[in-house]
Amino acid sequence: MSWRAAAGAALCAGLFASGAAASEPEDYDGLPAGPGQEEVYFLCIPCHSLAIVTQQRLSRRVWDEVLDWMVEEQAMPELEPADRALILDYLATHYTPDTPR
Amino acid sequence: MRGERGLHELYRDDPERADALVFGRRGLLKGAGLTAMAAVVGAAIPFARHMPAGLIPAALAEETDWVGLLRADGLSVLNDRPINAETPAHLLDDDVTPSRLHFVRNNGVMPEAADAGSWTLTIDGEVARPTTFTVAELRRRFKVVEMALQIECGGNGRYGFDPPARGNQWTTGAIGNSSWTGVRYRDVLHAAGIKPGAVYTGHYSADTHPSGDPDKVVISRGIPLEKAMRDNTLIAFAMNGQAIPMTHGAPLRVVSPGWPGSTSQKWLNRIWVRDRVHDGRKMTGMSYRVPARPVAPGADVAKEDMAIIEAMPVKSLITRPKTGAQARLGKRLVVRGHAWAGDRSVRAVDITIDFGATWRAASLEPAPNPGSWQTWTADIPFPQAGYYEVWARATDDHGVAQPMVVPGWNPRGYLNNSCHRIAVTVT
Repeated sequence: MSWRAAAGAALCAGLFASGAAASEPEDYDGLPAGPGQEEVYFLCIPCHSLAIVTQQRLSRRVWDEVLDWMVEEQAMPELEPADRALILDYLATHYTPDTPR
Repeated sequence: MRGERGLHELYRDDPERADALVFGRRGLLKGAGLTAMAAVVGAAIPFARHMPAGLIPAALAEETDWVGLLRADGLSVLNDRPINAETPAHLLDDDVTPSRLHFVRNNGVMPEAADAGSWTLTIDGEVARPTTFTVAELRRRFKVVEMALQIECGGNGRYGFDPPARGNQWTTGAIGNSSWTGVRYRDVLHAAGIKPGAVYTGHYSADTHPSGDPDKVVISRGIPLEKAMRDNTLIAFAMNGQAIPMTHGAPLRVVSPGWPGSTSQKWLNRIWVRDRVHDGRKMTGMSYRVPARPVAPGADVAKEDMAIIEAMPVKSLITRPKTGAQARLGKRLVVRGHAWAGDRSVRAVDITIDFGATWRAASLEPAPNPGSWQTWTADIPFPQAGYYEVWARATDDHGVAQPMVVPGWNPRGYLNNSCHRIAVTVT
C-alpha cells in the first residue's frame, strides 16, 4: 500500500468514528461553513482537491448520483446512511444550479 | 511558483529541514498542498513519524511542482489534484502551441518517473504476434513523422451548459495544436499483425488512480480500428521537437486528432486490440458519451441511450486581441484566431461585430497537414465609437457551422462548440 493510500485509508476509517481528530485545515479549501463542511472536506481530500467539488453547480438528484458514482467507480468508501445524508445535504445546499459562480 | 525554492530542491539540499517544515509546522506549502498535507498529517501522524527523512510525499511532489509551473505560464488551474488546467484564449495565438501553453487534463496521478530508455509499449489482443517495443525500437522500425495536430478535451466549453453539467468547468481553453513527432499508429499495429476480428483498440497507461489503489485503472479509452489506420493518428514520443513533458504524457502517448482528448492516452504502455468496442474505464456508462437523440436540458438520460463521441464538431477561437481590447475609431482592428473541425477541414470563418446581423469573411489559411487547426485573420473597421463584441464563426467542409448559442444540452456537458466572442471598446 502506498503512503498515500495508507494515509487515505486511515483517514477514511477514522473519519466519522473519531470525529476527525485532525489539525484544522486553513479554510477547508474554500468550502463554506455549515453542517457537513468538515465531513465533506475529510471525505474528499485524501484522493482529490476540493476544487472539483467547489466548481460544481448541481441539483440534488445529480449530487446523489455523483455520490453513488464515487463509490461505484472511484473507490470512495461506502458511507453510513446518516453520514451520506449529511454530506448530500451539504452539497445540495451550497452547490446548486442557482449558486453564483 | 517560479523563483521560490521548490520542494524538490529543499528535500535535496536539506531533507531534515524539509521534513520539519512540511510535517512540523505550516508555512512552506501553500494552498491545496498545505491543506492536503494538513489533513493527512492530522489524521495519520504515525505515518509522518515513520516516514524516512527526505522522502518527498508523491502527492506533494506532483502538486507543488507542476501546478506552480502551469500557473506561472498563465494557465487557469481548474483542479490541482488531479491536475486540470486550461489556456486563456489570448495565450493560444501561436500557430503551433508551445508545450507550456497546452492544456492539461489528468484523470489520475502522473507516473513518478517516465524513463524513455526503459519504457515499453505492448500490443496484444487481436493480433497475430503480440509484441513489446521500446521507444528506441519504435523510432528505428517505423517511419517517423512530425505534424501539427489538435487535441481538444471533449468537455471543453462545459461551463456554458445550463443546467450545469458535472465535471471540470472548462471554458474555452482545453484545446491545443502542438507539433507531435512519432510513428503511425497503424504501422505499429500492422507490425503486430492485425487479425480479421479486430474492430477497436483499448489504451492503457502508467498513471495511477487518485485513491492510491494500484489495481484500479484510471482511464482506458480507445478508438475504432478505422481511426487508428489514418495517416495522422500517431504514437508520439516528442512534442514540439522535445521529449514529451510529463504533464503531456511522457514518454509515449497516442495523438488522435479531432476526437475527444481522452482518446489520446498519455503515458501509454499497452494497446489491447479488441474484437468488440472497447469497454475500458470511461468508455462505458456516461463518460465521453452524448445522448443518441436530442434531450431537454436537465433530462435524466438512461445509460443505454448514450452514444460514444467520435469526431468533434467545428469550432474556432479568437486569440488576438485579448478580450477587453481598446480600438481607435478610423483604424482597422486586426483580429486573429484558429479554427478546427474534428476529422474535417474548415472551409470558412466569418466575423460579426453586430451580434450576427451581418457577417464578413475572414482570411483563412489552409492547415499545414490534416488534423491541424487553421489560422484565420480579419481586419475590421468600426462605424462609430462604443462597445462591440467580435464574434467568430467557423464552417466546415460539409457546410456545418458553429452555433451562436450553446448547442444540445447533454448530461456530462460535452461538445459545446458555440461561437467564441471578445469585447472591444472603440474610442
